[in-house]
Amino acid sequence: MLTTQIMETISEIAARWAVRSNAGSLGREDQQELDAWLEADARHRGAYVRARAQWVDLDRLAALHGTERLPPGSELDAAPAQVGGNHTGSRQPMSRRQLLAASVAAITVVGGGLSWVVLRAGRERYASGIGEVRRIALIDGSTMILNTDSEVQVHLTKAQRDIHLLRGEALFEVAHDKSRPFIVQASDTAVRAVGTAFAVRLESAQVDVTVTEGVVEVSGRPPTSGSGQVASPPSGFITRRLAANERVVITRAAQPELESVAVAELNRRLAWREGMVSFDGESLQTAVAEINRHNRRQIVIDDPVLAGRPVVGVFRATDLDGFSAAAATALRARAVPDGDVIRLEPVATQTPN
Amino acid sequence: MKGCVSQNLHYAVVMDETTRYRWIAAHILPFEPELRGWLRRRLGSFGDNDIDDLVQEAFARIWAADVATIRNGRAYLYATIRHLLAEYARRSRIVPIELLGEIDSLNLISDEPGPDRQVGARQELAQLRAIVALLPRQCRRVFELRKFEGFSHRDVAQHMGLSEKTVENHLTRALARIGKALGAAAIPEVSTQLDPAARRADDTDYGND
Repeated sequence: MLTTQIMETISEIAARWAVRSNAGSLGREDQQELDAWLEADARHRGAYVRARAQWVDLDRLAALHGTERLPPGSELDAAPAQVGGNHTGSRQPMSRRQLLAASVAAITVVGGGLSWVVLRAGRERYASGIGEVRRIALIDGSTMILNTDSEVQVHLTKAQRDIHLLRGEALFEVAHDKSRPFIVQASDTAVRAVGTAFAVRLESAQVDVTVTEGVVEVSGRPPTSGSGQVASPPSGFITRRLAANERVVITRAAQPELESVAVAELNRRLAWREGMVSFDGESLQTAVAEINRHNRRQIVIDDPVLAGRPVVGVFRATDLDGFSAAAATALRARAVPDGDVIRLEPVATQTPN
Repeated sequence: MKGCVSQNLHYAVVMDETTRYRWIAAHILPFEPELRGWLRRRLGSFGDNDIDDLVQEAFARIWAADVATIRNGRAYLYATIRHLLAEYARRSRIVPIELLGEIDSLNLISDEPGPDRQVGARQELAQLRAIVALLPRQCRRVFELRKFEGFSHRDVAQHMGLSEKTVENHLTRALARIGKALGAAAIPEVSTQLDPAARRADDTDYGND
């Protein structure tokens, strides 16, 4: 039938565009052709969206394949190992991700404080509950999105827009207003922007700032010396300028270092905006800590070897059961409900490592 | 440089798209097989092509929505289908009127936690392997290198001594087949829940179980 042919063609054309878009950025002509095709019929757009989403989803399954470690000789392992040839050693699926994890999971502890921030009454407070992602429109036209279990205080004046991140993480899309700088304070760190978008995450001992658009200025206390004294006078805050796709982690332990972040990695870090969490080689322990932030029930891992295994995948932030089931499947573990917690424990006594 | 400028200008859009694809992969795709199965059983007058139309239009609508505000992907998918069917009905395509009420019932069901995709990850992977195993040999190798081994598009071409165009052809074929197979697969638990064929004639009550 003719219609059958047409349908096949739509799905196949969509698949081709999805593959091409994922091979690298489209050239100008390709982009125009794609746009025209997408505009021509709602079904084209739908088929394309579906194909792109399926491609993304295949990464999730491929990641399971990568972490599942099939017994040698099983059919899918065999094929890539052969074609891989001398390449395979440096080409294992996890290696890239482990590398990434190493670059991500670097920061550690010192005490932070709220020293120079005075809380005053008459400011508006916004908070999100556990598992909630809240989008809040501010009166100046800016938007903030609160990640799970977060709290901010907002004080807009004619001279300045003051935001204080009290807890958690927030993404700010700042309405442009040169006369009123937009300043986000988190612990000892201040982030100053005019019109831009950036995320700030406050943890017990560090503040993490990631810029998605425009430029911001980040000021933080300099590292403390061994005795706990501030190495330079409090007025001597360290200031860094951050551009889009850059990130800095401020701790009291070390000089802040700028790090540039690939677009894909940046999207991954901000997946929480869509209620998702995304892992790309982080340890199970880190992943669990992240997913626990979003849930009242908690996942617990006692086994250190299991806790150190890398995790890859995209999960709904509030889907504790789904996450533990997927982790259990991928890591040969068992998810055991135990009152208010889910315990992840290794299944068999296979050679650890 | 031209490239830099355009990247900055379109940055926000690009960023949004990737997260949205991911969102759709996690919140909508898992329910496509269930939805297709349901449509096939309920809409005798709809052929597979009509169902394809409907599903594709639904994806286009969902794409246009602000997915950040959608709490329940499954409920949203069914609501979207319901709107589309109502439009089809207005355009005098044949849609049994009971169907719309049925979709309301489905919305109720879909407020409960649906069958979760993550739970079945192992089965999914097994299913994917089965589909991949059926691909033509070279197509399969290209796909495995690209997806399972983490090779870039270009690396695959170099490694296998193929042109990038040929790699694209293979990947297109693989994605089209896999997408079709995964979208069509029936999920047993759901079909037993929703498919009492005996209720075909008289099925306004869904809440009794």
